Amino acid sequence: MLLRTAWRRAAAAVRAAPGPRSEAPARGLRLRVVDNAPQSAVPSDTATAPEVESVLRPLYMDVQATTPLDPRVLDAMLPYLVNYYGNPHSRTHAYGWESEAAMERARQQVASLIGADPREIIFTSGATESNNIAVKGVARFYRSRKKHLITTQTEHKCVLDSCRSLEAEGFQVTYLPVKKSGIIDLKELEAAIQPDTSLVSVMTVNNEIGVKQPIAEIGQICSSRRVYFHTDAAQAVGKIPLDVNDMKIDLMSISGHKIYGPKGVGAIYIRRRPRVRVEALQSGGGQERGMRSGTVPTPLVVGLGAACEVAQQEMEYDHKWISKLAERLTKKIMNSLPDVVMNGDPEHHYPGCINLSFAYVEGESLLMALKDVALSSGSACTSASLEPSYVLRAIGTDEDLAHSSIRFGIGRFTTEEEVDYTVEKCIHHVKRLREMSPLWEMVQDGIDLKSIKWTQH
Amino acid sequence: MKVSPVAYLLKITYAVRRIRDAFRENKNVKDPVEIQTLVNKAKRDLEIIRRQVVSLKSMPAVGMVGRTHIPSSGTALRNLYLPGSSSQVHIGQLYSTDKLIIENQEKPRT
Repeated sequence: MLLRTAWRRAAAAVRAAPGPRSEAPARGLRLRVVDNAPQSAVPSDTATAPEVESVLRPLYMDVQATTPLDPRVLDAMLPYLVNYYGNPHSRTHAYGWESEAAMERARQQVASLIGADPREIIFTSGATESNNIAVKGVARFYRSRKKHLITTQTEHKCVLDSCRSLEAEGFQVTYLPVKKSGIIDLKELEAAIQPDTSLVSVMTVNNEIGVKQPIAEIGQICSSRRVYFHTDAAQAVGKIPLDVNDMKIDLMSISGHKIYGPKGVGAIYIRRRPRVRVEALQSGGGQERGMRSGTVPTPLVVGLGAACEVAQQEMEYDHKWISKLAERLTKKIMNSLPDVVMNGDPEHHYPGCINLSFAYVEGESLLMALKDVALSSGSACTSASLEPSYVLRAIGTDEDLAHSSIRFGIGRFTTEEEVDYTVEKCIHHVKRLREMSPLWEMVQDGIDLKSIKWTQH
Repeated sequence: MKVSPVAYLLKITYAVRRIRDAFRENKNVKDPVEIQTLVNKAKRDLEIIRRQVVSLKSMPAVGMVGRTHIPSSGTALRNLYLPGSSSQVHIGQLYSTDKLIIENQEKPRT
């Protein structure tokens, strides 16, 4: 109860502080943290530490970029970081044995989340490496007979880049367009499959607009045409129910830090029945069935396994909570502001990723105005460049709307107060920026912006 | 009760909400075996929370990584950066057992 009142007091203090902030930039929730007298474990020399710390951090609404570690995951990892530090591939002593046991248990936990056999899970350094192994490994193994791959225009950069590098090696790649809703057309996919197609790669949930592709149907098509089906499930694993056998998935990429696990670890699921052959990218001592050599990082994979187990238990509850908050956010924003477009299909959509375009407002300026909320426009991979996201371009958004898009991410730990605060600030700043915009004035006067002939300077 | 740094406040609000909702969801469970399973799981989760609260409270400057934290005395510096510092010893004690744990002891080591 003390926490709730503390939180409410903090939130009230933030809301009650309007106008320009002349002192240090007030970002996020201002909390006064009272650090009482140190514990008996800490020696008394740290009495020099400050009595009162004021910790200011922005609200975190960028869950698609990464997620905080769940405490249960941290608890599972700590023993392997501090005490049980053996190399899991050391077969001659107990340090290795216990490390290997932990690694195998983690493998079982990951496998049970997606309905796979533990022998089909290979640990990697992340979804990017998994995607590289899937795309390049499969393509190169079957290089003598099959030279064609199919993917979509809205895939993650690592898949698109892998395909591009394969094109330089002499492969042909078809980049399927997506409909305005962000979902691919199954007829086009069927038409694109050729006799020499080796792999189809379609991501399950898009990281920028949150659309869910019809994975079961695509799996059905691919298995009937004897083509391997790879899906990048980094944003979907642990959030929506996935079963590799029901959905006929042959390869799947899993990312640790998107499901409240540690960064730097991921996994790839490679089907064994019927066997999918993959050429290894990383050569070495033959660990992980020869598909990914290198010491398996025990603490990280234990964290990944724990994250998968927690996700399996919490999936339904999290989905209910996130849907509720997402509904709240979209309803409030769209009811208070005109000319707001949600990018992506509203029906086949993962609720935790909401991509909104605010017309007549520039996305970067809105992000800068919302400086006490951590948001992003588009994906973290492309945030360094100034171009609008290629995903938005692929779904056919106008150039100006593509520039003004913001992605709101809602996760397990997001609270209602955070959502309310974000909504309030967003509405306030959009109204303010629109007031300043000459385009908005022209629209209010009834001028159609598309009919204007802008002069060259 | 202390108010923790902001980095942990979100986890705390989540824990409170989740525990409350879990109690509500399971309030009609009548089977004693199931009740015992749920209680055991709750005890394990409680141990997790307790371990984390104790071990992470003893860590200096939790949630302030990356900010300029200039300790005013040399001994404070030593406590921050020396590997054998008190917080690590504390964490090590919480997460250790007397004997090595080997899962799946039925499987022979080939």
